[in-house]
Amino acid sequence: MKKRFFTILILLLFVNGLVPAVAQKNAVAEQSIVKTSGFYAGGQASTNGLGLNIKYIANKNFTFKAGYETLSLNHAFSFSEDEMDFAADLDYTTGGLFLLADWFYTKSLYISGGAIINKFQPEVAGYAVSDLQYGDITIPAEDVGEFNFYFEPEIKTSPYLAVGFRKFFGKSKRVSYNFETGLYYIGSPEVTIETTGLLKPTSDEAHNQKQILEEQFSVYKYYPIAKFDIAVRLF
Amino acid sequence: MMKNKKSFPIKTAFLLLITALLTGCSDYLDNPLKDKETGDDINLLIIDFNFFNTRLTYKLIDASDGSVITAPATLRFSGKNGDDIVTFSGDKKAEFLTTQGQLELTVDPNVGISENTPFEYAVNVEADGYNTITKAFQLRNEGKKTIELRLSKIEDESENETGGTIETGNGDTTIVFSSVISGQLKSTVAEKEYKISYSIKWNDLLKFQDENGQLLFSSSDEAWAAYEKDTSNFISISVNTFSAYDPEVDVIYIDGVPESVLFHKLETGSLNEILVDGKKVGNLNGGIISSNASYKSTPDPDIFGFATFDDAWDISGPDTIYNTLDFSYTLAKASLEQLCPQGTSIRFEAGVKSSFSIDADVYDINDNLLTTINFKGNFPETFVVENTPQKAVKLVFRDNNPAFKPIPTLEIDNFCTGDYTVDVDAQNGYEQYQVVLKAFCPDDDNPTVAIAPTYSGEFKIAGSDNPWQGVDMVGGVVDLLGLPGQEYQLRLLWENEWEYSTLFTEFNPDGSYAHSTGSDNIYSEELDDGRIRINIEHTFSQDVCIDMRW
Repeated sequence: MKKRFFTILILLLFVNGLVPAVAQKNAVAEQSIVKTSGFYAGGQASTNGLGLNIKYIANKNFTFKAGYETLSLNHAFSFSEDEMDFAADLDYTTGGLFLLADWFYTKSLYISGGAIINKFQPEVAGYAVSDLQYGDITIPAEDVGEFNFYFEPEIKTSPYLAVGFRKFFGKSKRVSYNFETGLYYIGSPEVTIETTGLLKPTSDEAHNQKQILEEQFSVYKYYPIAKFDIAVRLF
Repeated sequence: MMKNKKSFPIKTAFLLLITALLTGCSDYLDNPLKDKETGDDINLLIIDFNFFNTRLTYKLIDASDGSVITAPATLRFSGKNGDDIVTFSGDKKAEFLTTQGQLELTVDPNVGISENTPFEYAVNVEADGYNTITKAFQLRNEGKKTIELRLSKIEDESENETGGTIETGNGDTTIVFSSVISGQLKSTVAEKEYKISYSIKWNDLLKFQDENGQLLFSSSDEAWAAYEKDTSNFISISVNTFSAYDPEVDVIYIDGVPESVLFHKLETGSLNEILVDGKKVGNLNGGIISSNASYKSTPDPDIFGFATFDDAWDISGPDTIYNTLDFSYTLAKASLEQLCPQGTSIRFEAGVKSSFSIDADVYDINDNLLTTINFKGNFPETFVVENTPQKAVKLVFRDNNPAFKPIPTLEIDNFCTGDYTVDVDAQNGYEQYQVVLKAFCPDDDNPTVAIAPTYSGEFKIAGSDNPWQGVDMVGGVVDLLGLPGQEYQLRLLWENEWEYSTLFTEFNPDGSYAHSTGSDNIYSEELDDGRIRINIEHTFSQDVCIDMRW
């Protein structure tokens, strides 16, 4: 797990390492005497949700930022299993409270690190919409039961690593915008299953369905982030 | 040149994004609902097909010797809930066939069973070489029921031939078959508590025809002359009878309402032949044979007489008439003592983890057999008996379980109330095992479908004279007791065919299976509680997946 995490990190750094020489030229060209340090407030849109943030640009090398973002998407779908039709709702909830530090190794390019108290918790809930036909017996759909699958991250406070660039608008450079991409490490998702009626074996430990699904979803240890944020200097 | 510089960070960002996604998220594009190794769909949901709340095991027993009947037999169900009895494949059938003397059936789970909504049905059993029987049931709770149906072998019937004498009175001339026609096994001679007699009025006798359709006598005078020529051999009636029936709970109509009562079939019989003046009667031709039954013992039963069956017994009384030669009869007595729908609660406990199937004969305080009950489950388990008489009884447990020490008789003050506990001890030398059965379909196209059956099974040492020991398998798991170092057979009855698995109770010190496996894949492991779990992967010889619609 750790090995994979560091492999990704090295790859990200390597890709970013391709550009320093050129980026350095940009940095020199764009050096100005305009002051950009100070407190900023803004908002961001990312794959982890929409939110607000505040940041403090300490100097040309370090920026500290904190914020909150949230995302909730709902998607209704249907599927069939064992010759029965089920209706389901995916409630995709994620987001969190983050605290990050950006280290600029050029004027615009930076590596960001920190942590997020994440609230990643997708849920799939559903129920049978067709009767179960078993020989000459018909089991009504309402007796088949309902199911809920809850996915939670293995760790609630997730380390974050990203790379990005930042630019400023205007003559006074009061407005900044960032684009960064990175990963939260959330660990293998843990699955909680609740079922009723004839679906009870799904949540019965004897049938190992929880373990089977956790194994199937175990690759999703990293939450990918693509983030755009814009902020205005307050003072 | 400037344009290139401005666009450079954006290109870099894209490069970073794509790199990150490809490196960190390449697996993310795989469908998590496809098996990682095989690519097969994985089931998100597991459905419990064991949704049957009531399981019915029917055993066809030879009434004479108690052996299991293996002659081809047909069971038909009727009555209010007769159509709600189905196979474990969910199939309703007009008739169920068996050549194993046993049938595993169940009840449509949509039909609730309770004290106020009893499950009422009747069964009719026809078996080659046996007399047809009928019996009615009122089930008042759900659960596992083992029902023994006792059939009398035709060859075990006794033939009773009785001569008739002529009596006159009230202007009628009647031939009375005055000898006691009492059912008795060929091997048994015992005084019976009832008497059946027959009579034929003279005018009816004159209507009788021979096997060629000719009147036996052309006139009354001709008949009388024949009688006077040989009065002792003028007429005889031959009836085949059987009377070795045990009392049981059955359903009779009381004021038109079916009620469960203590019921005792005293005798069944059928006409063999009537000989008149040396000629066999072929047709009654409108003539009538009257029959009367009388009870000779004390106390008099509440209800006594000839019974006919129409989804429940109708005991019409001690007199009946027959107007055809193919008549048969059932003589029965019943008690009007009201049975309690729900009776005593009996809990079976043991110091071991084991399934059990225990038979108990229920006697009253005068040692009259009242009924037989089977208790099948897993220790500890509580049963509430149904349709019980409100009287003191004692349960005599049959010693047919090799794994258990004989169970002392349980005396109950009132079979309608009370909670009792039966402690069962394991026989010396027996150890606890857990068997986990996964039954696979024989179809190679569907090898991954496994059935973890909730089903009744049987277990015994291979080749031994021990009786098969009933076990209650739940979700493919059964705890049982076995002797170490033995070869055992476990069998399940599916669609009139036993599915056998053979296993050895010999293990390596680490709990692994010490034998090579045969047609079944068998492996074992030691459980945390020290027991050995024996896993059996058995491929059905029958196409169980088709039966189950999988």
